[in-house]
Amino acid sequence: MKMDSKTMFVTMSPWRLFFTVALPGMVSMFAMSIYSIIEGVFIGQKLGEAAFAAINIAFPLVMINFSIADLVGVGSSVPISIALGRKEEETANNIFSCSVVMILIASVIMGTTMFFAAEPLARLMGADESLLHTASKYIRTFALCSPLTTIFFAMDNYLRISGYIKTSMFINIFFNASTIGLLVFFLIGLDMDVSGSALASSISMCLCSLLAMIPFVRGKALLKFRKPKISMKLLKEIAACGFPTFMSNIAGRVTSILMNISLMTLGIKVFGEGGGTTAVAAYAVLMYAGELCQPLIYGMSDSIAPAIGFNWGAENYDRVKNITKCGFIGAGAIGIVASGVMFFFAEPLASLFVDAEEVKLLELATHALRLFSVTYLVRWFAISAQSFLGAIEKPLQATILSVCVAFLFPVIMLGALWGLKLDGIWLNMFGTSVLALVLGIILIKCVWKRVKR
Amino acid sequence: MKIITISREFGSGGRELGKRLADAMGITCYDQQIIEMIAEKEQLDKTYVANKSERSISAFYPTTIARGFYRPNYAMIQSAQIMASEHELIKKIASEGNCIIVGRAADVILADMQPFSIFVCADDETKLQRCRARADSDEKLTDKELLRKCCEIDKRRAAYRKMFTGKKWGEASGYHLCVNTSGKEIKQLVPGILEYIQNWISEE
Repeated sequence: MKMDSKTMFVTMSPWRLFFTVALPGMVSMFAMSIYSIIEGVFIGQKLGEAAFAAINIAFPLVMINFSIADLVGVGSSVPISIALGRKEEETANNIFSCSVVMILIASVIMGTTMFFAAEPLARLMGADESLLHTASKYIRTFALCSPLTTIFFAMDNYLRISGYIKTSMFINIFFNASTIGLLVFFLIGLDMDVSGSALASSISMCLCSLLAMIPFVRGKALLKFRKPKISMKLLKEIAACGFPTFMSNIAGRVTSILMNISLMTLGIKVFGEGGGTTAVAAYAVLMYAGELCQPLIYGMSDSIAPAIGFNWGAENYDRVKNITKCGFIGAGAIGIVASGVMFFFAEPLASLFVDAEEVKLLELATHALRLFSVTYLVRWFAISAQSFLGAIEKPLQATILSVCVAFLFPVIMLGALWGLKLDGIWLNMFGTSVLALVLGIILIKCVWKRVKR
Repeated sequence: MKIITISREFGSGGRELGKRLADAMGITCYDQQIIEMIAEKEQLDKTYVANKSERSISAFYPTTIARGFYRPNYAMIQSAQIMASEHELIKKIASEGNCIIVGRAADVILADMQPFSIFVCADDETKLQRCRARADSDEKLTDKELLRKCCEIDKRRAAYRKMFTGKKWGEASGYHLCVNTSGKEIKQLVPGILEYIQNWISEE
């Protein structure tokens, strides 16, 4: 970090600081998630309800595959930074090379398993006979590309550690553009099915992984490939450092799977044969609609985190309080606006992702969006609180909060609201967010109380 | 040439021992100065550096991590930077001549130079007394809270040391001399320790 940003953290007025760092953070985070929204539009409009549902069912498995690479990527970034700091380049290079090899091995194993067990896995995650074929096709496409796709996020992380921040940003922009371009080409140009959508993201990721590897292969980066020497100690270290992120990642995916299974069951109960598909597709609409505002809140919280962390370390607690307050007010404002937009524009929003001819789905998705909209009245708090706890380096508290939000609370709510049938599912994230609000306040109060002494 | 490193439990009097030994030997004792030097070099706040040093480094990324654009963990990168700059400084200080370095896992960092390493501990009562004597007059912590704070700081020091070596913080075999200051004044202990060190060094 440069001198000027340090001075900025300490002296600039909280609101000015907030707008200086948070706005670009929000914009870039939003820009980077545009592809996923466009993907949602394409799948929903072009491929229709069944494909939409099948992808939503298959998606958690794809993400679990990525989480394993994340475990190694995040886990190794700590020892690598330490080794680089100590000028022990050989050690850093070894950890880096070991990690890359480990990710490749893990993703080959995961890819092979996913390819051959696609059908039973899809069934396990809630796909019925009508969705089985499409869901497993989606999984298999990702499985085939697994080694080069999973390593993308880790390579991106290593690029940043090595100081290639601009290159990493360029690659991220390229990823978005190429995914959107390939989606258009595969789905409209070649008239492909779900595998077209999977291929578009996979090929973009592969390309980006290769691009990200160039500085390392050419030996220009701070980190260099060498013959890896893996030790038990290293494995333990990486696992310990990456575990919190891995846990909350996996917890979220397991919850998605549980949600999909519940949606299939309840959908059939409410609408009869085929109702499960409609319910899952409606849920997918909610998730994509959430993508319209969630990145803004994440981008805002994450970009003020360094300023909070810096002042926290300098024991400028009043300043921490003021900057955090700006963050919370900003996140709250976005949450409330998003909530209003979702409620009042539920139908146009839903029809963004749903073909106008699918009347039943459109009706259900609109109704679901109206109920779901209340989520964002409270959801912003959990995101901001988690980011705050991370910023002041309370990884334990941050992990507790994120695992509760990702897994424990949704499961509790699933049970508690089961009687409301599908409405219970649309309200699940609202209930979760209320519980998270309570837990977040308790955790932050505890931390703050200890500061006061 | 001899370097002496002192690891210490919080409140056990390690800093005082370092200072007195250094006075007796006519060399410099580095403790808080290291923090000040780094703060100046890195253009950072002193309290910030103090809070970042002697603690292990952890990574926490938001769950959005695998969804495209995410920021690097600044807290982690900066902690690593401060740590690195501390290591560099400690090595530089040690290479300049005889000195005593208190804390910061200096015995591990300087392992190549084979420093004489001391570990200082004390019972709770002595630690409390020492903390009370040193604390500001508006200190409002109860005994229990104060001890918990000591324990926390010690845990942090142990975790920091664990990043660089398999040898446990405070385990007797990892040091040349362990000193228990319970119920004793540091002043009284200095001559004996000094003699021990001098014998040890001349033996070599």
